[in-house]
Amino acid sequence: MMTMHRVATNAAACLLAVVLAGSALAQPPAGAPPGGPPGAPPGAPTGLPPGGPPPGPPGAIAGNGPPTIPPLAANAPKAPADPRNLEGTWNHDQMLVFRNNVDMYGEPLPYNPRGRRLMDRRVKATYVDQLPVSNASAECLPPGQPWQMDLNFPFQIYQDKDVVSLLFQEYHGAWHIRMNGQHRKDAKQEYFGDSIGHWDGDTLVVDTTNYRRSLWLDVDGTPASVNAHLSFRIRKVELGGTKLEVVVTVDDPWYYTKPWSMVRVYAWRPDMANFAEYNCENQVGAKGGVSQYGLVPEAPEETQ
Amino acid sequence: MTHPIRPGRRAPLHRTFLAAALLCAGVATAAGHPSLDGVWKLERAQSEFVPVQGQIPFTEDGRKGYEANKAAAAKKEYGYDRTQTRCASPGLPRVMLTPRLFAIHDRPQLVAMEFEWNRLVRQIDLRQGEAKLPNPMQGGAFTGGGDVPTMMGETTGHWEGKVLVAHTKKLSEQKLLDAYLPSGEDLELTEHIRLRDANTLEDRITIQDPANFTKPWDTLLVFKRQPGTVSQFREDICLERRNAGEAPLPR
Repeated sequence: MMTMHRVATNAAACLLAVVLAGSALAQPPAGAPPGGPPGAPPGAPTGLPPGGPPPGPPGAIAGNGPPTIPPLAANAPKAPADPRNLEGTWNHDQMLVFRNNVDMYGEPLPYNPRGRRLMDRRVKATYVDQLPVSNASAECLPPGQPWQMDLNFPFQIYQDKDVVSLLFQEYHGAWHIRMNGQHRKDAKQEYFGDSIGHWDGDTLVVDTTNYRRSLWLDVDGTPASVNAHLSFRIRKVELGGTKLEVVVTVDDPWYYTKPWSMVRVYAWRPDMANFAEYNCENQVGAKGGVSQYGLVPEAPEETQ
Repeated sequence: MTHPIRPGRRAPLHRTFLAAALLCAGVATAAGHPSLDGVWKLERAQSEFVPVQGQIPFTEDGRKGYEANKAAAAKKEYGYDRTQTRCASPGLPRVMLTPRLFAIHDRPQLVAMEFEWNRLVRQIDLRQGEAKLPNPMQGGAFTGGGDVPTMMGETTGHWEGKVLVAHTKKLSEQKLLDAYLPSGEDLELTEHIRLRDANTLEDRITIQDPANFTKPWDTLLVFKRQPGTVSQFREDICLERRNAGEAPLPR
């Protein structure tokens, strides 16, 4: 049950996380191995800073700081050995990134003027005017994959040869990836977009587009439009235990001058298999909706 | 025993369908019980639970609550029902009455039910003993404590032969059992879930709630297997239904 108490404690935890993560965010992500990080999308090396990637141990992945939850017990069940079997419970156990100031190579996001204006407006609304604008997650609606997966709440993967499903504890999130299919031709638009996937070796490659509502890619509102293509390269890696690495590439000429990528790592957490209850509507469904919590609708100009 | 199809004759449609269904549905899990995996839907839409035998054994308070809710609904006053007014989770056992599709993901440690309506998720925890590791994110600072009753409660389960037995407690009283039946703080549910045949799922629910019923009583739900996969589920979002003037909980 998403009680107001829990909302408050979650918010406090997130604020703590962002404060602690501040120093990490000010620096380029550490540890990209020579030749680009594992799972890097095609063409990614062009985004490397002059002189190559920052030094790091072999096999290391750009992280966002120390884990935010205790380590998994030694007697916990192990993840399936099959690299193409992603089933199980996963949790983003790194510090939450409130705002993607830089891509996974440490380069500033390639905003075009429209994207820069929108982001500046959102940041000003939240931190200067203190009148934050509403967004899908605040309205108990699925916020789309990046934000949904960033939050430090568990999700589960179920898969067969036709569909890979990710079920999230929060926001009624359910992401269905149709394997080896084509994008739909109908007019149906969903909060999770339309996702098709295929295996590239042991990496699940997903293309998603045709969103019902433009996305906030993070808490501060880094944008993606309804027609953006988000590609995901998802694979298992070992970093002292099984992890799931997800590289997201945002291809969205509406807001950016070129595609850019971010990377996140998720921990195998069978101890978090039992979801906490998500019952957001019990508060937000009341008369007044999100406005009773001080959120204001976003002006429609330049959002798509 | 099956009969071979004669050359030049087409297999009767019903036999083809049955064979396909058995191929798809007759899969046993590693533990030996038939898998509940698949997409399911109530055989007949219903908004109220019907007792298997006799009448609902109301206590005086239970009957008063039920009749008051029924009278309010007749006047289209749904203040007693936050699922209708706010899209709050209907919780258990009412979620099993949603007339849309749901999928079952049947795994050795967990059975998950994924509902099309409002993308609700229900979980039955099959872990026993040491395998039931404490969740570091529950019962601590992040939730303010682990014993708060919830709409879905806490469900544990185990297999008895081909029957999945699920027991639910820690259920909030701030919900209904179905469209009208009140729910008490000591409510406990016991379900016996099994495949009647490859395409028919049965959920026999025993409702025990001393505040509202003088004794436990049983109700029976029947679901039919549906073609397709979860990828056909649409985003059926309750708040959008409500805001469009539709019934928040489809009938």
